Amino acid sequence: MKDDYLGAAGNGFGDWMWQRASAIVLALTLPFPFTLMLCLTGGHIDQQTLFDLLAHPFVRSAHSLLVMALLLHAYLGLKVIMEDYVPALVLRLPALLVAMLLALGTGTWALAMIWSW
Amino acid sequence: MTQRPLSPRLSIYRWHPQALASIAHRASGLVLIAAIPSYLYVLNGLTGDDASFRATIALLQSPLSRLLLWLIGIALIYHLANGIRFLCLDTGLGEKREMLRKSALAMLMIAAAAAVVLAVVLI
Repeated sequence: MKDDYLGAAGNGFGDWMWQRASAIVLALTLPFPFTLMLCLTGGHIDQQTLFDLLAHPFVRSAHSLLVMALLLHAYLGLKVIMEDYVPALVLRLPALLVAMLLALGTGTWALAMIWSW
Repeated sequence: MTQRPLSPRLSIYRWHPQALASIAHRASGLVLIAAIPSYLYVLNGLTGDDASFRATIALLQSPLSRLLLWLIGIALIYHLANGIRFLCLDTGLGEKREMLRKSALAMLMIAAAAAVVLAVVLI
């Protein structure tokens, strides 16, 4: 069969591709909030400067993209780990469902916050 | 039902850099997942009123927060470096066994260097 590489369910490529696509987005964006946290811990940034940065239209968009890529990447990574260490489907499926709901809830809250400033 | 082994049997393999790099990628990923709600909580506090901003800065500057930020930073830098290594392997770069061993060791050294640099920055 020519589609053997997709696995028995016929859609094995999707997770693999999204994990890597989100990885590239995260590699380009995630260093910024981490550096920001380091600067804030160092006491180098006042609140007005922070707002000017966070409320910039480009930063809002990049921040939103980061949050979506991050939660997708986290969910897919958790899924791969659980497929190895939680063989019982009766445990794994509900756990992944909870993880997905948490990711969606967290993402909604984060996006609402990012666009509220 | 016979008890078949789980795929990565951590307790029976001889440890080598490639295996350590792989399991460290998963471990650092879990650390970073735990950091997501903390980041959003801090962001929410920083963008509140003036008192909320100052309280959140004080929280960030506490010894426990600095320790956590140090750990998160090591996890982030390691996961990023090794993630790029994995992407290279996906394209077929560096797939020879000796190269795999050397690049795995290099990633672990990057994490060690990150630990030192971040400790200096955060203390």
